[in-house]
Amino acid sequence: MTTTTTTTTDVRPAPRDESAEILIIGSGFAGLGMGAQLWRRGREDFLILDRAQQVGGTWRDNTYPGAACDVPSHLYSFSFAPNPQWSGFYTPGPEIQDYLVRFSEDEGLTPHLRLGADMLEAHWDPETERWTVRTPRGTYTARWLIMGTGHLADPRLPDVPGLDAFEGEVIHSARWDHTVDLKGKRVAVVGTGASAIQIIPELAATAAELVVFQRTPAWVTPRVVKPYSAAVRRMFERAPHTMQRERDDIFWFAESSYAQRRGVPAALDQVRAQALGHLAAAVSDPELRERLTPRYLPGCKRVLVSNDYYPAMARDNVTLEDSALDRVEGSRLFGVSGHGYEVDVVVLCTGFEAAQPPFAERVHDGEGRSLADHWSSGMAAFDSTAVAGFPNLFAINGPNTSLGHNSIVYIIESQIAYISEALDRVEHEGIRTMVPETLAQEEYVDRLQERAATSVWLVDGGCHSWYVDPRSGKLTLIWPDYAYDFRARNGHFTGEGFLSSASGEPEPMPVREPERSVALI
Amino acid sequence: MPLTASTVTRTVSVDGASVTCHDSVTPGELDRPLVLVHGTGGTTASHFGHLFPMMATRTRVIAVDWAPTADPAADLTVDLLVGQVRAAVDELLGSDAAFDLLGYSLGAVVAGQLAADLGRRVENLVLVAGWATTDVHQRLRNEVWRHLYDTSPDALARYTAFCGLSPLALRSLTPAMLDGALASLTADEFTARQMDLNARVDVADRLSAVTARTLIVSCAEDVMVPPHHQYELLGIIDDARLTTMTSGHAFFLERPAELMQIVDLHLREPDRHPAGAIIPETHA
Repeated sequence: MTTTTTTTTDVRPAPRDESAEILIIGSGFAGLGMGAQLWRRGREDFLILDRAQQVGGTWRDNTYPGAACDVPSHLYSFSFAPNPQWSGFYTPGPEIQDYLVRFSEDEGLTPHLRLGADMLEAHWDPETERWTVRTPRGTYTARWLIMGTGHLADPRLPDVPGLDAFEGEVIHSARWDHTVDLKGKRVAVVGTGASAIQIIPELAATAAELVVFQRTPAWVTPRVVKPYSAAVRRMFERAPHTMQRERDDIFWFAESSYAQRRGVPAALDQVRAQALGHLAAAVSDPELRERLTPRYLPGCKRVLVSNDYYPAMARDNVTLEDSALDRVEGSRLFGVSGHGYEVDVVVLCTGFEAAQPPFAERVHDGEGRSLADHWSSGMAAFDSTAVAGFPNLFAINGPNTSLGHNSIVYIIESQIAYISEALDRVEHEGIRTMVPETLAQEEYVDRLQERAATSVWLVDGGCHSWYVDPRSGKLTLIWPDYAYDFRARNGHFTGEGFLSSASGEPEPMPVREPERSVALI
Repeated sequence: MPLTASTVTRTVSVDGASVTCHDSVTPGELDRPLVLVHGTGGTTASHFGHLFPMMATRTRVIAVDWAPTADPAADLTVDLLVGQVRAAVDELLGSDAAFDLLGYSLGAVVAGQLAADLGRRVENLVLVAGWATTDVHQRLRNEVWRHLYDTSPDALARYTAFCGLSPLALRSLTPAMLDGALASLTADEFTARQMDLNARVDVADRLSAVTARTLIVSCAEDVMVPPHHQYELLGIIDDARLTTMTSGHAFFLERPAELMQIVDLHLREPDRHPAGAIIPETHA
């Protein structure tokens, strides 16, 4: 995928045990961005742990054919590390992965990386007031633990009877097996979400036959095709304000689409008309068009962008099975409708374990209780960043941080600023422990849920999206407001809502005016 | 189509004119209602299609669509439009209730005047792309506008798009989008009366009486009401601070959500910036 993989692969002999002031788990946008900002603030006492052998997170893991980002690249990158060389408005996955690998090197993070260090278990020790993280390559201790584990990390595998015994290959989109040749094969794609609509056009062009199992049709809008010429890229490089203008234009355009998520009638009508016009232009068969037409509010599930998905669905070698995959018998896949299809390969585009992240099973409080147990009715965090009962722990891109309408990197940068300011306070005031008050967290979460209740994600009973925790019906993945509002509320650390201790018993942390002038914001 | 699910729209009769008002009714986290006043040739839906419903998630929002006067031959005046807005607000809120007030373009001229008249009843005033005194640069544009209005609707639409949007925003339109925009840029006799008023605005003295805490919003690439006018307002109004957004005059097409951020965050924390402050634009 890249030419620079070896330089960020940590090949030194693995030390058994290490300690640091700060441990960061994960080396995607969150972990690398956090490390870079710590380093830029003059801190060197941190380590970044990742289970894989290379940095990059989601963009390292998702190598399926057609993988690309549906957020424009000038916004889907760090504001403090702009890239004038993006090839176009939207860029393919490998280009983003290259960006992250280069970023990690340029920011001097290589010596801080501990790769192949899967966090098997983490616990807080109230006596030593430190975190201990066990990994296959050694045990790490630190005073501060920052989770950068992301929402799109662990593939979700559907519980379908007979799938285990399927006679051919089964591939999940996020764990693509490049040794499997799909040319001339009969292939089934399960799902019609963001990964599926990128994979389907690629497979339709190579497979002999393709059947697509669709539980719910997606809202699909046109994808802007705008390559940046060499001259434009040089303009961006020579006159960086022109690149910033491009980024700002993209950001504010995306922010304006938040009106759709609030269910503003005119905004919903506009996106409906755009998507249905896009469908009608690509699919002439009225019966197929009908079956591809969504019946829920646009935005309840992610609104997708593609120019080649609908044309692919209209191909002669592609069959739409508009029911969920129900069972597998031998090499035959059956939809809930009862229709069966003989296939050689199953491609699961079934998403990720987002609402109940596996990492939460592995993180334990001072009494040995897991974060997953704390989150048994849904993920929750104070300021979307710190968790009551878990001292000295921060989560980036954790509960209520994802966006359906704008770039997660903007949210991640806001959280990095918050955590950086918190750690600066800690340093200046000799704070040993810090934890949000339970009541503060409850008030914060209640307010968010109140806002979420009138959004397209929950109004009309929702649409069974992965943004909603199925156990409680709460919207736990999504930030239910503008991106700017997240930054305004959670982009600075004030101390409000926290208990801290420098020496002796924890007491409410004094509230300070936030630093407004940090370089990030 | 309703602006939001809860919005009630009705008409209020003011001196024989039938003024349309929209009221989102439901209160929110902010403790005062917000009143919006649109600009030349606009309506609540066309100028505040984003701001009205989205600020309605923060507080009760009321907006007034101006109406032609009963006597169509009579000259339009700032006071006449002020009277329409004031009557509608008094009808919906009662004549003592405090509120926040936002005006855009000619609506900013009207809102500034209304705030001067009402004193402390208007707690926070937001003036977007406003001005105090029409200058020669604006009069030249106004004269060309008038000529095209009388002679060529097609050229008038092109001229309005040319002046209303920033060059980069125009360039980002596809040919179909541009055609759609040009087709929608029509002007009627009431718009022409407002343009006539635009050529005669001179309210600098009266604006100096504004006591409300004021935020002035300047559109950096506005050729209809260029930024030098908003800096003049910063000098005229006592408790004023100024911020900028990167947009042409037609912010509602170019940066509707950026204005939402500016208004939302300002009304949440109106004392954050002292009088006289120049607040830098935020970047993504």
